[in-house]
Amino acid sequence: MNITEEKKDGITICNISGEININTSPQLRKSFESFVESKATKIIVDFSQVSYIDSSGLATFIELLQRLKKIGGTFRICSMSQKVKNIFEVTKLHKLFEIFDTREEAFGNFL
Amino acid sequence: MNIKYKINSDFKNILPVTLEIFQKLKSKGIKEDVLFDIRLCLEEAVVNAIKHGNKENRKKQVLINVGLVKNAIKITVKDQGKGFDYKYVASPVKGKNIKKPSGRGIFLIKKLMDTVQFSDGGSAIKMIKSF
Repeated sequence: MNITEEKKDGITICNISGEININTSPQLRKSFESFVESKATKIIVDFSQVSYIDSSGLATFIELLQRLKKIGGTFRICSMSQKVKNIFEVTKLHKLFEIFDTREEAFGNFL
Repeated sequence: MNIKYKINSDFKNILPVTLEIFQKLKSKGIKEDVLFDIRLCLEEAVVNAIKHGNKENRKKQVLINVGLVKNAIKITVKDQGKGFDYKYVASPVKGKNIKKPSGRGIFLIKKLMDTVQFSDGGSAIKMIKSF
């Protein structure tokens, strides 16, 4: 898994590529901790290059949402593959997270 | 096809085994969509076996058995723990549970596989997926 970060109009964009699994989730958690520490309150997580996610990955995103909410922030997820999106839908997490089909839509009224 | 693995309870041991199984099933012509679900459920079961069953004791082992019969894949994962009350597993989609980070492994397995059976007091899980 590889994580890159970019900023645009006050929004932090987190690009993840590869698999989010039991071995890579700790690395993802560390990146998210740095976002929280830097007070990044608007984050878009781009899933276009994410090929796999397991329950440890889902847990990491729930933790991020909880930590961001404590500092008045939130995040949006965009560009999921159908298989990855299905995991969020099966677990009903599509109701908890803000999920958008494209990065442009995620930016939408986030600005 | 019938493959057996025995791994020590270390999370780092999971991926090499599941990816090997993934490749072997892929070579049998099983579609990627089906393989995604099978791999996820296999990994969730092995993670549970290591974490909750064997309590991450590296001396304890997890047994994995994968069988391919006609149009179905049968997977058994067994740990050396004491088992658990598999008849009561809280639903992660009900009420406030949706906001809890953990507790989705077995739920995903039940949703994505066609048949799920526990045995040996919960220390073994058998999963079947037709394709």
